[in-house]
Amino acid sequence: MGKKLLARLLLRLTRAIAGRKSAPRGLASGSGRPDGAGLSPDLEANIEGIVQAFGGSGDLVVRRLRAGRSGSVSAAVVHLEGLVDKDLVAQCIIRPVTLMTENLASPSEVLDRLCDALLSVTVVDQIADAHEVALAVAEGLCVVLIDSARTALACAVQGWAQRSPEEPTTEATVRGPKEGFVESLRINTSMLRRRIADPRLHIEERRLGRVTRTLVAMAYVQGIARPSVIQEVRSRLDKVDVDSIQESGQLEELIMDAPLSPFPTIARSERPDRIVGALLDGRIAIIVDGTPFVLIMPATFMMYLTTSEDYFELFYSGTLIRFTRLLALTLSLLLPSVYIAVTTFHQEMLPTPLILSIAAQREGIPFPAFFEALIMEIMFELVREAGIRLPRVIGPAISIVGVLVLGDAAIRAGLVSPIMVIVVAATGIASLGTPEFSLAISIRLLRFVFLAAAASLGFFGIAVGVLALYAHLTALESFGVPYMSPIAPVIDSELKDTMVRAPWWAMKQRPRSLVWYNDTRLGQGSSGKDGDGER
Amino acid sequence: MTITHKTTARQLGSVLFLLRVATMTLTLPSVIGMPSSQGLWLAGIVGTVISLPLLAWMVTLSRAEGLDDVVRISRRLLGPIGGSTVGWLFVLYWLILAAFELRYISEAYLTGTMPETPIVVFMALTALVSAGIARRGIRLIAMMAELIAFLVLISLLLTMVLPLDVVRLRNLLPVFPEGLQPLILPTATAVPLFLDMVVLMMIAPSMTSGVGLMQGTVWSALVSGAVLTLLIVVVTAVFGPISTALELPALSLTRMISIGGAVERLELITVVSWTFGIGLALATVLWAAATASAHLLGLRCFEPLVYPLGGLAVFLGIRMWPDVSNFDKSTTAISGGLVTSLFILAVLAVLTAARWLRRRAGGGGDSGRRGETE
Repeated sequence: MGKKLLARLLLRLTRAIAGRKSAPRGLASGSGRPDGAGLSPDLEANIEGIVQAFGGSGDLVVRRLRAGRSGSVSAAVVHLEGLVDKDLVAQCIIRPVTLMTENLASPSEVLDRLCDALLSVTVVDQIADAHEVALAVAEGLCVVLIDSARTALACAVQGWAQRSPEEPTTEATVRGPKEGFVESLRINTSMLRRRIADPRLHIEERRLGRVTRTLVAMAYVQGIARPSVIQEVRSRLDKVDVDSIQESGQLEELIMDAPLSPFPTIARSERPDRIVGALLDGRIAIIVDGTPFVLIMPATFMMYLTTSEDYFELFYSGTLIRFTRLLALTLSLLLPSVYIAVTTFHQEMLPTPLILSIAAQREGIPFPAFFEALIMEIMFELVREAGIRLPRVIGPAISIVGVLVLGDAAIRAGLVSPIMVIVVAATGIASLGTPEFSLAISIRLLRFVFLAAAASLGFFGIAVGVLALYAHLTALESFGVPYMSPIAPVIDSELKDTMVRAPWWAMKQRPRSLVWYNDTRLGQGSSGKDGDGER
Repeated sequence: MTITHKTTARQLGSVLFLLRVATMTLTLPSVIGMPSSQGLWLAGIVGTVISLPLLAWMVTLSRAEGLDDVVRISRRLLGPIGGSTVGWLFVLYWLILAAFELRYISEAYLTGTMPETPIVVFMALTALVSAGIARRGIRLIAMMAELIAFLVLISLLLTMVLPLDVVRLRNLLPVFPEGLQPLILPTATAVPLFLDMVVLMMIAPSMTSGVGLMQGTVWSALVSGAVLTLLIVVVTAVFGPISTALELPALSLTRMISIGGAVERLELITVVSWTFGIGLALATVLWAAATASAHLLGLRCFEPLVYPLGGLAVFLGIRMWPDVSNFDKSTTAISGGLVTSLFILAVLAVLTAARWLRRRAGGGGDSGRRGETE
């Protein structure tokens, strides 16, 4: 009886162990952590484990090989089709393995020989964990398994279709580099490296997303970026626990300071030159594999009103452009509400002929000015959204026709007044003057709030709204830096690069609120102002 | 790092400037109460000069007590009962000041632009936004004040410069039609306007240094005084001796502006800038009242008190002055009158005397010096 019980217990234990071993070595559900099982000395068992981990996926390629003198060593090359460069795999991995003719005594000697001498790829890692082998294959590495060896070799031969760098469509400039980031993190980091040829440019990489395991790189310039901010970014990234990161926008929402605010507290850019500028100002960039949008932090409000071009043009032009943008921002936020306030509550502000002209145009319009503006704003938003979604060939044409036909028809039908069409069109044009799309969207959203405030309380509503908005903006912080700095609080030394873009020779120092100790941007004698007139 | 979590001298100066100038420019010179206004500018200058040593007295007391706030200083020097009494009186004073400012800006909107809207709408909304700002603490108020003070100053300068075409310098003559004696009362009533800056004794603990406290206070007093004096001169030059009878003289001044025949009246722009100024001044006062109340009630945080105090200010603003005429009469007594001066001067005198007695008795009069040295 006792023997039977013992035998049953042993059987259960053996089954339990066997069951655990035979469990698919895929991603552990939920946690995403490796199960810690080592590789088996049996090549076929290891191959089976990988095949099971991928659920028999059709794109998993397993190439069995024989190596060594008289083919005494069994090996296999495993990779995912489409993620590796086939030529590299054939030339640098399969060929050396098959041509290995030495009679090596042990599997570890085979591995060492392959690793040290034969595999002609730049990066070769030795992996002993079965789960990590599967992850390496999923990441696009080519894994070499050797019979009787408890370690696999993972070779970096990734290669997949990707677009070449081209000018970013969302941040086009007249003057400046025409190169933009692409979806490949490695190409993006290389663009930064090319522009900052200094080992102080540190790029820390990690994988985020329990399922997607997206490669995320954090770039900063050692000695310029503030260590406390670097640590803060690291710590926020460490806390990210999410299934997938497909775009930097997802990560942005997970690490930003005020997630409920309509204003973005992390800037983004597709332009390497802008990111380099930010890094040299002491900011930190986060590059996410699979998207050309690179995040910049800490971000301040004024960053959203500047472009790289401001710094490439002469400072007069840069300053003028910035003022134009600020005007555009103000108009896009307040123009319709000011129109509503003036026509509804404060007619006395306008000269009599003008107010009479407006009144004549509005005669016969069945709606109050607020609803008139609301209808036009909503129509404008619809046309704009449709213009973005429509195929590029017909999108602009449909948008123009839509605006012209709808606007004209609305006036003829007596639904809106011509002046309202002018106001809404001017607002629409002004909203396109905001360089950063995320800020433009926030402004579009707030425009409706101000419309309602102006319709109910006139200028008082607008004034109270602006005060509340300013309080909100001033209270915001981005990684410890006040969002409205250097305007609130006023930082005198940084005012040279806000509304006014001072000449380069006057901006001798980096923003002191951001940098650590290396705050000098311009060396002695770099100023071109002295002597230029004499030459 | 350049960005400090403490209040700088310029930020303090901006807060105090807004606290004083926004209300002052709405009401003056009518609030001073004088039959003719030709010599009022002298009252502005003399009032500023007299107020400077009084403000310096407040600053010196704060610095001597280690930049502590006035409630803690009172409790330390006067004991729990005396100190708490002084503290509650300050809370009441700031509440009345808040109610006054709320009422004034709302009356300005009501009179100037939207006479059909119930006054409580203006008061409640302004109080709501100001309480929202006050709830975030003095740091936010100080950061906001720098830009808003600049905008208010620019707006005031425009108000004074743009109607230059209707300025008649002969309206300023004769300078003292009835001699200097009638100027005594206006000067005496101009001084308490500056004493409202006693709120600096609540802001002191957040200051970077005692020197900054002094610099900010003096700067704000001088700029406010200059603006006050200039405004009196321009209003008198435009409207003549009857300017003291105007209800909202600065508003009337902006109505005289006409730019290129396209924009006729700019009073709304002025009122909007006043909204910013008074909104922030109100936030400062509400923050001071809430912080003082929290100290007195032994609470760890003041934030929960801000909205109730804002509501109370709205209630007081409506109940204390049932109609406009009643409001106009009372304002002189409340804000510019002797009540304010007597209260603040009495508190300062009592605190100074208590401190002197304590030092003489070898007590802990220097207990607060630590903060200043740090």
